[in-house]
Formats: sequence, structure tokens, C-alpha cells
Amino acid sequence: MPDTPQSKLHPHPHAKPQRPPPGIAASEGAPGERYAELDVTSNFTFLTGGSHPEELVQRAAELGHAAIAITDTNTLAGIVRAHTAAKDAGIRLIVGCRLVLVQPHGLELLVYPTCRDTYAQLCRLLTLGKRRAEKGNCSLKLEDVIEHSAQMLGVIVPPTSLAAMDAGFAEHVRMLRSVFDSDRLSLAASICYGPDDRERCTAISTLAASCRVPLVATNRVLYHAADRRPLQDVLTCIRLGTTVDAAGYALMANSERHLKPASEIARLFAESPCAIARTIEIAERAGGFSLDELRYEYPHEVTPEGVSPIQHLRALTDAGASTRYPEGVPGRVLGIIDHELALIDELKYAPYFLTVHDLVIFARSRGILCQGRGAAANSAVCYCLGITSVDPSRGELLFERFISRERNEPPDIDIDFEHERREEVLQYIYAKYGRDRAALTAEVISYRGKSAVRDVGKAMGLSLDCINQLSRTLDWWDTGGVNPARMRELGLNPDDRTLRLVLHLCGQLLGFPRHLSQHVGGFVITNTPLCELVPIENAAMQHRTVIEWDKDDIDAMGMLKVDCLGLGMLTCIRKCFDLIRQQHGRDLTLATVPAEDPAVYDMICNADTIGVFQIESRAQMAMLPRLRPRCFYDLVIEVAIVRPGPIQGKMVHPYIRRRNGEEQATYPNNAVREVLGRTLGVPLFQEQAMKLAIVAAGFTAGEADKLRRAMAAWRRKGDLIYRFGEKLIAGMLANGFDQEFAERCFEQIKGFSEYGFPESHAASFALLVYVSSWQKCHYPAAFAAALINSQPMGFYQPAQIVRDAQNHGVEVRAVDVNASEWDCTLEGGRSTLRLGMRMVRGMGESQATTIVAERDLVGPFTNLQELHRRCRVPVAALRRLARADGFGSLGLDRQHALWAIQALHDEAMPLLDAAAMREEYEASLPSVCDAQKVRQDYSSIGLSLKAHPMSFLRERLDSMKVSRASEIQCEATSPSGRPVLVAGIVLVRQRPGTASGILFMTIEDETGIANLIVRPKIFERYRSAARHSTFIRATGKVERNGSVVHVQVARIDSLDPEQDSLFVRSRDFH
Amino acid sequence: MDLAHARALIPHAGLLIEPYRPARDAIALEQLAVWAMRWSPVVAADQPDGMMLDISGCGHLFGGDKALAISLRKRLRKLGFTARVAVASTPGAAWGAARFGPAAGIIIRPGREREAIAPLPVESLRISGTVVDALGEVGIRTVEQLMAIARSSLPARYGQEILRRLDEALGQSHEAVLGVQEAEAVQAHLELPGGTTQLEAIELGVRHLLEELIRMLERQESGLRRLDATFQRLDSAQICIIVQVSRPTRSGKHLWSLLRPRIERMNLGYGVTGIALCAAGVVRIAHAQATLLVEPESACEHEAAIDQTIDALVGRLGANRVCRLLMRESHRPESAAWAAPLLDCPRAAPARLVQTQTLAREACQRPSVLHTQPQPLSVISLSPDGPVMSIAQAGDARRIIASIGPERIGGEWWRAREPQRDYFRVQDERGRWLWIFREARGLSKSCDAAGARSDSSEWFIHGEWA
Repeated sequence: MPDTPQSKLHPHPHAKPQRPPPGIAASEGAPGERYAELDVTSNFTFLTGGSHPEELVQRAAELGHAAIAITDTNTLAGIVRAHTAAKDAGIRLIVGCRLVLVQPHGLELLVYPTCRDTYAQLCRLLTLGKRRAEKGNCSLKLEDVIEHSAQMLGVIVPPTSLAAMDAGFAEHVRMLRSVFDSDRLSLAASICYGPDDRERCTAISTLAASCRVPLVATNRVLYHAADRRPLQDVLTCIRLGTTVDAAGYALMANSERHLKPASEIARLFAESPCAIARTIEIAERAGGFSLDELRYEYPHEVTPEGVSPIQHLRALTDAGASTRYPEGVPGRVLGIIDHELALIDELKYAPYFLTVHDLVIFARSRGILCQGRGAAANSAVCYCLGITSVDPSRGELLFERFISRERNEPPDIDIDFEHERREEVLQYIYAKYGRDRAALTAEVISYRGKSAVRDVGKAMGLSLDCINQLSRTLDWWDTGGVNPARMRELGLNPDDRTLRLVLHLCGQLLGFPRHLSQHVGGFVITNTPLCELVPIENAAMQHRTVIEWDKDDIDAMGMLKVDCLGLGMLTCIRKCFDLIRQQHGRDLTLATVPAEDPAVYDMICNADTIGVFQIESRAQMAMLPRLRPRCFYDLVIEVAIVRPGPIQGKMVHPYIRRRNGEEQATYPNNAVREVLGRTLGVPLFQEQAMKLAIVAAGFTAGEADKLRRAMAAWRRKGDLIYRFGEKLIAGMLANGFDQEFAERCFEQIKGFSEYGFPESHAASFALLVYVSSWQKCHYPAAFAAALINSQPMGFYQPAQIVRDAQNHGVEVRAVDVNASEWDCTLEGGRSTLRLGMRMVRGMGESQATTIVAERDLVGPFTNLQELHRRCRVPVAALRRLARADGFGSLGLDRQHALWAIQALHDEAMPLLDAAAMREEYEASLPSVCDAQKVRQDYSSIGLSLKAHPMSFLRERLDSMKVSRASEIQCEATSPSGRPVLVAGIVLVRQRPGTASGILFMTIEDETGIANLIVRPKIFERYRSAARHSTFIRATGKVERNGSVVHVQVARIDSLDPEQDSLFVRSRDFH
Repeated sequence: MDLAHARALIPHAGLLIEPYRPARDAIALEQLAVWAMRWSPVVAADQPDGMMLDISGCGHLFGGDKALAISLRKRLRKLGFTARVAVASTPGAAWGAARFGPAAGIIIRPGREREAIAPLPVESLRISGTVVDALGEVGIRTVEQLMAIARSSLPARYGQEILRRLDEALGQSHEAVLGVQEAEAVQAHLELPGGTTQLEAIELGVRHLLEELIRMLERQESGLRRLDATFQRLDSAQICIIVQVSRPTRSGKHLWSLLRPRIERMNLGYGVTGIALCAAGVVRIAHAQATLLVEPESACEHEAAIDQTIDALVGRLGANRVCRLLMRESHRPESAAWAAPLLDCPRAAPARLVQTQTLAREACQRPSVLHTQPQPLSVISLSPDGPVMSIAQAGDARRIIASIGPERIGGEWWRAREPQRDYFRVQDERGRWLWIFREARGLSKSCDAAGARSDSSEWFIHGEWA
């Protein structure tokens, strides 16, 4: 009969410990009640654990456990989060891992490192297993464990089924016993209210006694609280691809696998108290190691022998400065450099700068365009090293925003490379530092609304149709609360129990990690082997390796990270520079493009910015004529202002009013003036919001930084930011700001979390804006060619780019087999653009280059058969060229070229070939109308140089009194408020999240483009046309705001049938 | 158009969604073709969307080809089909004209095929989609445009098929229509003039009809799943006996053994004047292979024997009363097994009637008898998880000498909100092993209270090891 412990001695399970227990030994309470949970599976054992590591650690602290281990299966992915949470909660975290072996199959062993070296071994072991296996798997054998087991503590987890605890298992226990010394190995016993607990316990303790391995009590925890059982069941179903109804014994019979109070464990293990004492013993020894002991070291090879890193950095900076400023470095810049170097030296960040410099030098040596973005653009040193291109003498930079003494966190330099050539840089890093010292950081892919509904719905057995309907009610997740009316509207019953369960479980599942993926470009480079710091696994992509930690983990561990990102616009700018060099012999770089060219600003003010970086979007183009940027800093603001942050914070209009002098900027005090002065009292940049929190709301620097972090994570873990929000608003009110402004500031801070721009980042981007605008302004043909050659990127399709180029006086020539190359090229004068074969749908680059090479070598082709014979490219490739109407120089139009090609065959057919040779091209083929030809142009190359498709409808449109787009632009014919009809081909449909459901459409006819605004009501009413039609007619009113013209739409009709009727055969078929 | 698009076009209600089941559509079309045999002896179902009727010489029966076409279309409309009808002297021309010709229908007089199909699109020639696309690329969309091209240049580009199809449409090469065959109804009937109340005579008649039926089935190499026997009584009442078998059969002996007891119990009234037997659910069955080396008790014979036993039981007890036990993996004991009528269960082999799977992963953990309704019990046990000391059911108190547990089983939360249960395997002083449980309502409260306590409302007995 088991003793029942005295209940009065139990601490209340929900009572928080008064203070963090300083060490395990010092923990108070009766000896029987001290317990450490050593077998804990978090949700980083993907689709298995039912709680976040943070929740588990938090709960263990609440229960007053002596310590808690996190033992995810073959991974340490969740350990940093647990570590951070444990520090906050004041509980000791035991780093651990559950090894599930492939040989002997399924043997489970919990291991805990006891010191830095054992931790390194564990990481090595996991890396070994992971590199052997496919992505996401781990293949470890018993002998691997034995090899890496020195100093490690081990706990064998017996199999669940009693039958599996046979002689073979006993043999493994003995084997492990001989490897681990007696006091490093234990055998886990757990009582989870199964059908045969007693037999199991007896069997385990008999085995333990016979093998002389001590017993240790665990509860095989899968979730922090019992009410997570449904979620855990659903996760199991998702993992196994089944439903809760069909999963059967794969689900747990009860909800006992949660963290239990020590008293409860003591009661369950009343017969073997030493098993509980053993948990404390293991916790004490394993608790000797903490992740805080990991020290990060910068790689050494970036510094030459015999020089200290800071000396080397100074030398490089000085050399760089003299090339940047050939006519002498300005005194102010010299001062900044000295200041920066002193701080870098003090914080010992020199190797970091050298590492980044090394990458930039490499990229430059390969002719890959690159530019640092983000906070690095605040640094004059970075400018001198060539990492960034924003001249520090141009603006006011604040190095402290990049590196600060108080924050003491590693600097973070993000570098953009040309998107097509980034892989070269990545492979260079692997080659230089080796795969054991460099790897990409992970990105934890978490459940979002849609994926959660899909997976939970499937597991709960909902039909796919129902799941699709349900995910359409998703909008409520952002705003909170289900909208029953919306559900009914979609044919769902909001009172249905299963649906409510699904929604409830989805809510819990949000933010659960689903798998690890690779970060887009975050590299970690270390001096010592990286695989001793964190396990490394293979990525899905070949030749990539990824660590298990994501960028937040890396940050928390103070590790160096370089973000190597790909940016399409850099590719475009580089290609454009190349074309300018070839065609005009002018050699330019980002830094040498003539600065502050008024012609460029004129163009920008006219919103003539199709294709230009950043300011090409509808919203930006609408802003340009109002903001009228005239200098580089104006561009910086332009880039930053049309972002969710300032828009949500309603900062845009005040700024414009003040800039236009319609309103006076006022500041409550000088501190605030200093922060906001440059932006006329309106916070536009991320760091201004932070600074404002300090000077206006009385935050400390540390709090402001926490606010920044909370901002980044508020989508993931909600309410933290609201606590900061209250404090911020209260603080600002106390300092004499009005309530409305304070609330707007907070709204803006929330907005920043998504896409906030720090000033320096905006400055980096503004430079690309300026450079691409300059290229477009002075070399429109080269710019258009480079833009098309870098597709896919940006907002616009080649059709709009070409049309825009034509409007700027560029002559555009069609694809032709005797003139085109793969890329678009410039011909003759500065303003002639020849479309490349890359525009031909389905055309392969290798086939195109074969044709071009043959043409360059022997000379132009005179007929199709000759081309076919000489190049031996597949007939399918010729057909694609023919569809693009690319045989004009052979005297063949599309129809006749295709007719001729249809007689060609890849395999030699001598008789047929001969017959086809003799045959005349002019078979009596029916004639094709012009509208049809244009449509075929569109379907092959996405544009037509022959005519605009709308021009064929013009007669009919005139009879319908439809205006031309050019007429709407003209104020004389279309004053504001005039009712108007306009028709065109839809270029862009855009529904920005900040515009409360308003759809922006851009349509084009043969005279130009028209911008439409479709309100949600109108959209719903004319949904089908608004959403799916290619050609539309809109009825509405003209709205003018300066030179910005919109049509406020009241009705949309599809013109697709009209278009179709142009070429449909003259008889009705159906 | 995909479903999402359709939904977007017709928001919310008003959109009727049916899954696409081509196999069922094909069967329906075959049936429609059989139905259409009232206009012509040769009807072919032209999958997936048409019918081809060879009406040579049929027209005058309906007052001409045009009248035939009109009546066909009218009748089809009554069935809910919208049909387009074309009459031509070649199947090819009729095919194209029906699909791509005028919606009102057309009759193409012999010799006028060329001008009739000239304006039709090339699709009307029954050529593959890739050829249609290739022709479209060079602007050839109508048969007329195609016919303008020199024939010699076509095969190299589009293969031989296109010329064959063109010739078929124009009647320059012959094409036959292969019609569907209607299945012969398997039924037989017998008049008993004046009526009889003699059971022997009726039985003799039934056996005679049964033999006739079996012969028909043998001819068709088929067996039946259901036999309807209808008896016409003198007083105009009809008695219908329906016999179902678990697998298709044409064994006269077996069917008679099922029919006979039912006939014997039948109320003959003033006499029976007619008997009709009709086979339903006729399906082909393979020939019973006559084996030279006869294996005693072959698996097949064994199965057949089990089937006949089942049929006999169903015949006597009723279809709903002969059940088999089905099991599924479930922690909840009540959900782990249930009885389902045998004839409803599709099954692979009788061997599967008895599943070897157990109710739990280890057999001894579940009792051999599970009560349909757990019966309330009062229990004295040590709290919270301690052993059961004694139980009392309806005043009958017993001491417990062995208690194993608790095994905790949570409810199937996705079905209903159910309290979790703690199960104990207990042996009473008389040596019976019982399976009892406590519903975990208020368990947390009892957790703290030490010592023995009795609670009559929460305990139940759920099974027994017999």
C-alpha cells in the first residue's frame, strides 16, 4: 500500500518561486519533494511535442522544479529559446538531447553534456548523424554514441511495450553500462497510468538491479499542461498523415504526459524514492554546463600574420579612404573614421569588419555588384572598405545606431548581391572557411493561419472543401475573435463542435515550428569548428549546410552573422553598367554615378519611374509628385515613408503638410527636436521611434532595445508589445505629448515590425533608387534592356517596360533569329533596343546560344532548312521562335514559318525531308487578322510591337463613349469629378494590406495607362470582372490630386468577350 | 475553370457542386443507348458524350428521318437531356454536324456532305487535340480551309489520321456503327389455372421454374445475388418472397434450400394461380474449374460452405440479426468493437469474419466480456490511486483480494466531452476477475484527501474475465 505524502508540505503548484534558485543544491523544501524533469519533448521535436520550450520552462519554474531538461529528438534546435526562457524564469536549464538510434533500431537514450567539451562532442555527434542522413533526419548508431560519450550523462529510455524489453534490450543496457561508468548511466522509469505500469516498473527495476544501473524517475513529458493533449493528438495525426478517428493506438490513451508537481511524482514513485533523488543528482552534474559558457570567436584568416586585426582594419580603411576621396579625405570624415575605429577596437569587432570586407573584395574580383544595407550604411569605415556606397559626407550618419557600447551586441551587416550570382559568394564562403566552420542559419518555418487550418482540418477529418471554406474566414485571426456571420455566409455552422475544436486547436498551433528551412542568406562563420557549437545538417538544396539555430538564437548566443542576400535590382544595375560600358565606353560604379543630377530629380518628380528601384510602385508613384524629392536625403525619406509603419501611424500626411509649409513643426523640447528635427517632427524611421521612446517616454536604452525585439516578434507572440505600448503612451503623455500623437507613434511602431526601415537602410536603398533613376534618365534603352534581362523582378512586365522605353524615344526591334541574342541588346545608336530570345516563351538558353554561336561563326541564315541543318537545334525550339514571329529576316511571317517547321522533324526522314524541301512556302493558308497576330505576339513574348490590343476595339469603344487613357491624364478634357468610362488591358492588381481592402488596378490602352481605385463594395459587386478579366471597362469619376490622376470606379465590366469576338470564326459553334 | 474560380463567379449559395464521376456517366450513357433502341436496332454509345444510331431503313417507321430526329430529341428532353441531333449518310459527317453544326439540328442529304461540313471547325473531324492545335497555329480552323490545302502536304505534318477522318466524313471510306446489346432478363413464370392449395404442386412448380432460371444463368455464365419469387393468389393478393445470398450463385440446390422453408410458411389463402421467379443482381461469375486432382476441403469449398451457412441463418433469423464483430483501434473500450449486419459488410474472405486482432495491444489487459452499459457500483478504495478494498453491487458486498491499476483512459475528445476513467482489474473473494472503473470527475479534489473513502456514484463495473 503506497504512502500518501502529507499534503500540507506541498508548495502550491501555481505559486511562483520567490526568487530564482541560485543553484540546485540550495533549493529548499523537503528532500522528497525536489525533482527535476529530465525527459521533456518540446515542439522542436516537430509534430510531436505539444508545447513551446518557453512554456515548458515557465511551467517547470512555476511548479518549483529544481531544474528542467529539454531533450528533443536528435536535435538542439529549441535549446537556445529554452535557455533564454530559463534565465527569465529563474530556473536551471539542463541541456540535453534524446538520441533515437537507427542501429539498434529505435533504441532511445537521453544524453546530457556536463561541460563545454562534452557539449562539443554532442554537437559533433549530432552533426555526424545529420550529415549522413537526408535533410531533417539523423542516422546514428550505438558505436557513434559510444565514441562520443566521454563525460556525458546518459539515461536509457526503455521501450513502451513490455514485450520489447527482452534479452536483446538487456544486452544493450549492459553494453552501454560498460561504456558509461556506473555513475553516468541511468535507466528511466515512468508511471503514466498505462495498463501495465506495475509490471513495467518491476521489469525495469529488475533489469536495473541486474545490470547495476541506477533508476531515474521521468514523466516522459510531451506538453506543459494536461489540456494540451488534444493538440498533441492532432500533431501525431499530422505527422502520420491520418485523422484522429483513424489514428487508433498511435494516440496516447490519456493526458498524463505533462509536467507534474514534485509532490505528485513523489507519490507515484513512493516505492523507489532513490529514482527521484537520482533526478537531482543528474541535474546537479548536468547543470554544471550552461549555454552561457559558449564563447564565440571570430575567424582568424582575415588578418595577415603579425598584424593585429585593428591595425589591419585601419590600414585597409586608410587605403580605402584615399580611393574614395581622391582629392583628399574631408576632415569631418577623418574624424568620423577615427571615432568609429576607436569604438570597434574597444569592442573588438575588427575581425567582423575584415570578414565582411573579404567577401566584398571577392565579389568585386568576380565583377559581382554588391552593397551593404541596413545599419552598416551608418558607418564611414564601411564606406571606405567598399561595403556600402553611401558617402558619409553626404548625410549625417550616426555610428552609434550601428554599434553601440551600451547594447554590446554583435554588429549586423547585411550585404545585397546580384540575385543571379549570389550562389558564387556562398560557395566562396564554404570553400574559404570549410563546411565545419561556416554554415547558413536556419529559418524556423512555423504554422501560420492557412497551414494551421489545413493541417488541423485534415487531422480532424474535415473535407478539403470545408477546409478551403474555413481558411477563407482567416482574416479574423489578425483582428481576433471569430466572426460567426462570416462563417455562416460561407456555409459553415459556427456552433458546430468540430469546427469550434478545429478553430481552438488552430489557435494553439499558430507559431508552432513545423520544420527547419534555410535562412535566405544568413551565414555563421567561426574560428573553431562550428559543429562543436551547434549541430549542422544538410539543406534541401545541394551543396548547402545549415545549422539548427535561427537568427534569434544566433543573436542570443552573440554569434557573428553575415547576411548575404540576393537583390534583383543590383543585377539590373550591373547589367546596365555593362551595357553602358560596351555601347558608350563609359565605366561607372555605384559610387561614381554623378551625384545630385537635377535632370534625374525632375524625372522622379514627374513620377516617371517605371522600373526604378522601390519608387516604381503605385503608392510610391502617387507620392512622388507630392513629395517632390530634390536631393538625396529626400529620396531616403521617400523610400521610408511609403511603408506600412508610417502609413499605419498616419505619419504621411503630417509630413507632407509640413514639407509643403502648410503646417508648422513643433517640438515639446529640445531633446525631441534633436530626434525628429530632420524629418520635420514626424517619426519616419525605426530608430527615431526607439529614440523617441527614450527621450519622450522615459524608456531606458535597454527597454528601448527590448521594445525593438518585441516589435520583431509581435506577430509571433502577441501581447508583449502591448505592455510596452501602454508604457510608451503613458510616458509620452507625461512628457506633454497629446494622446493622439502618442497612439499614432505606437501604431507606427507596430507597423515597423513588419517592414520598418531604419534610416541607414533607407539610405542604402535610396542610393540604388538614385542610381537606377540616373540610368533610366540618361540611358533608357540600356536600362530597359538590363531590366528585361534581369526578369523576373520588380513590379512591371516586359510589356510595360518596353512601352515605357518607347515613350522615352527608344526604338524597340522584334526578336529575330538573325539579330537577337539570348539577352536583350543595344543596336546601332544609343536608343535602339533589340529584344532577346529570352523573351520567347519556353525557349531554352542553350538552344538560343547555339543559334547565336552558329550565326556569329558562319554568318546569317538565309532559310529555315539551312538553319535547321546548321544548328541541329530541336524542332520544338524553332517552333517556339516561330511562335514569337522570329523569322522575319528570312521572309517568313509566323504562320508560314510554322507551316514550314511542321514539315521538319528531329530524326532524319530523308523522303519526307526532301518532299518538304521542294514544297513551296506559299501553301494556300488562310489569312490571319491583325488582332489575332497581336494576340499571338502576347502569348509568345508577352508583348507586341505591332499594335496595342485595345486599338482593335477602339471603334466599338468610341461608340460606347469610352475615353482614351491619355484624355483622362489631361486636365482640360477630364477635370476632377467628371464621370468617365475607360477601358484597357489590366497590368497590375494590387491590394496592399494598409489600404483596408481597396484594390488598385492599373489598366493600359494604346494611348497610356489609367489608375483605378476599386472600393471593396464595388469589388464584391463586380467580383468576377474585377478579379479575373484581362480586358475591362471601368465606369467612374476622375479624381485629381496635383498631377496624380485616379479613376474612382463605380462599375467594372469585362471586355474579354469583345476581345474574343475579334478572332472567333464568323459562325457560332455552340 | 476550377472550383475556386467557379465559386468566385457565383458567390456563396446558388452553386451546385457535384463530383465528376466519369465511370458512372459512362454507364448511364450505355443505358441510354439501350433505351434508344426503340428508334433503331443498332445504337452505339459514343463515349463520353454522344450516341450513334444507324437509322438505315428506320425513318419511314416514324414518318421520315426528320420526324425520327424530332421524336428522339423530344423524348430525350423529357428525360432531362438536351440533345443536338444530326442526320447524315456518314457517321463522320453526322458526328461533326451534331456537335458543331446548327443548334437546331441538321439533315445532310447524301452527296451534300462536303458543303455541309466545310464551314465546321476542324475539330468536327474527330482528330486529336494536338493536330487541331497544330492546324490552328498556321491559321487553319475550318474544314474548308483544310480542304484547300494540297492533300499531299498533310501527312508529313499531321500524320495519316487526318486524311482518313476526312475521307470517312465525306463517305470516301466506309465506317460501321457497332451497336450495344441489351442484357436478357432472367425470369420465368408459370400459370396454375384455377389455382391450387396443394403445397406439393406449388413446390414442384417453383423447382421447375428454378431449373429454368439456372439454365438461363448458365447460358449467360452469370449468377444471381437476389431471387424474387412472386406468388399470385386467387384473392388477387401477391406474396413476394425475397431471398438474398452473400455471393453470386447459380446453385439450384442452395437456392432451393433457402426458398423452401419460406414457401412452407407461406399463407396460400384460397389457392395460388401463378408463380414468377425473377433474378436480380445478375453478375458474371467465373466458371467453376473442374479440377482433376480434387483437394479435399479446398479453401474455395470451405468458403462456399460458410457462405451457405450464413445464407441459411439470414434466411431464418433475418438480415439484421446475423452480425459480425468489427474492431477498430480505440482506447475507449466501447468504441473498440461493434456488431454490424453481415450482409452489409463488404468482405474479402470469410476468414476475415473472425479477426485475430485483439481489443488491446496485450490481450490480457481487456476482459472477455464487456457490458454494453457500465453498471454502477459502490467501492471502497484507497485514494487517490490506491488499491480497491471492497466492492458492493446491489447490496452484494465483496472483499477484493487483488487489485491492478489504475489504467487511465481519457475520452475521445473529438467526439464528445467525456470524463477520463481509471480502470482497475480486481479479483473478488470468490475468485472472479472484474474490470471496474471510476470516472475521474472530482479526482483533483479527492487527490488531497488521504485514506480510504467510499464513493458509490462514480464507480462502474464494465466487464469480466469469464
